[in-house]
Amino acid sequence: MNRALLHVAALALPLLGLGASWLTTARASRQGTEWEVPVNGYDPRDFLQGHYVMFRYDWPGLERGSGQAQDLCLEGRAPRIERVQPAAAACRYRIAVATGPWGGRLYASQDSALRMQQQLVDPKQQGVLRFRLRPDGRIVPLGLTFRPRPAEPAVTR
Amino acid sequence: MSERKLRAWQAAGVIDADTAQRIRAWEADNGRPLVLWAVIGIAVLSIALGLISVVAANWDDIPVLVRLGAHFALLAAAAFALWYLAHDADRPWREEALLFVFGALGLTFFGHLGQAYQTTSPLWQPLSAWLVLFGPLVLLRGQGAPTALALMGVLVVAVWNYAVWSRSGPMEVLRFALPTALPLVFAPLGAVLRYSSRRTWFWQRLEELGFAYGLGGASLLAIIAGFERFSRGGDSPQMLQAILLWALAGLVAAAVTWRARPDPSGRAAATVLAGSAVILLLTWPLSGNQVIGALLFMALWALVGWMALKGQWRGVFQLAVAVLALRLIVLSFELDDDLLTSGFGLIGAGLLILAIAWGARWVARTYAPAKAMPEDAP
Repeated sequence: MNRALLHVAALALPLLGLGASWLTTARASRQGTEWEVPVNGYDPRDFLQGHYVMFRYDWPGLERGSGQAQDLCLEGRAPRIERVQPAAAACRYRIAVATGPWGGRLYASQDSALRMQQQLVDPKQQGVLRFRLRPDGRIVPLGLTFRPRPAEPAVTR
Repeated sequence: MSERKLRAWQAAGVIDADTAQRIRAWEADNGRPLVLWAVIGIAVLSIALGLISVVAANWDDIPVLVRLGAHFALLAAAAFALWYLAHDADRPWREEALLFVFGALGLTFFGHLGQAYQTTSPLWQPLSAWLVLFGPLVLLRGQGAPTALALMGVLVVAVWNYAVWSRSGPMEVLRFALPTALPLVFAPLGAVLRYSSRRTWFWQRLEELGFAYGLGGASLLAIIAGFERFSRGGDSPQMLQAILLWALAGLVAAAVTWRARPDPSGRAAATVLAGSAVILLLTWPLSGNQVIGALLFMALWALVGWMALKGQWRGVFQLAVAVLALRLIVLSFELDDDLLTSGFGLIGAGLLILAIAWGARWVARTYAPAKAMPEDAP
């Protein structure tokens, strides 16, 4: 192979690869169904990796710790989740266990991350995460909203 | 240039007044205005920090497409500059710096994508993608230590992150031991290519990094062997297989290096690699005993010291002596852990450390090979 051509190919490869990665990520982020789930938050910011809010999902109908090593199945009409249970063979909305169905992070600017963190620890407010469930079973967080928490014994965190 | 140094040298008779005057004259013409450079540097740094903080403060208001587009445009500009600079043999450092920046921009692009589209993935995935996309370019164009170190660093983090991430499942030994043996490839690769390529410096750095990975890995395992018994416990068969695989990789690397470099330095490097493999094999049956673990470690580093003498590696010899001395000191505390609980114990420990340090310094000074051209390093 011509040496000059080899050098050009080695230079083009990163650009093409990164461009393709951008395109596929952008396309995948538009696919799937949107849902809402209550979340509990912790650890708002990490200065090394950028600003984000971290949270744990509070799947309706699922005890924490059950079905740890299994895919989960969403049931209900989007965006309302009726219940979540360990996935059987046939499942329309499947959350892949490999993508971490117990908690996630939402990137946000420093200010809004701080604000969200304060709201998340406020016992009077309940955080609700709007997310997109991609066809490959990945959860893509979209945004965090808050609503008054119903008067009941405080959720232990 | 320090005027005080010049005067001291002149007083000691190292240089005469004439030479000192000539040095002053040359420095006056060719010296770099350090203060001016420092001021310019501070100004540039402050502008850059300001730009970064303006962008960061308005991060959410900048559309994703604009952000990623600007990042990608920077990448394209760096690629164009690299293409334009293709064979600037006079200024390899310019190419090296540009290549490093290009690689860094590429690595951060993965993080930027994840942030923009709210996706997360285990660390080894973007790092492996980076290795596939940027590895060929670095191997083709790398000029020196920065890119060699970057390549090695990304590879080591990627393979160990993968090894930890994929701990269970089918073929777990292969998925653990094969990737983690991979960085060793740089030792024979550098040994083979340092003579046939014009970029000797780059391949030599890569060879050294691969060599250091093998030696460091064997040392680490010898340390662990001092307090853990590999042949006991549920995962001991897997451990044995991993050790066998690593040792095999080390022996192959040693054989290729031995063939590629018939000079004393190459032979010494190959011997240390083979010795590391043998030590690895010995940790399996001999692990679980403090003294034997320490002996394995010290045997390995005694071999390093001996081979450093044969290969005329001054720095490595001194390092080996220092490591042996440190291990000896640590061992004395391990064997007699009430050295620190009584006054006499403390005095004795201090004297022991002084004696070992003095002895090591004497050995390192007396027997170290003379300072040589940097090309003679392993």
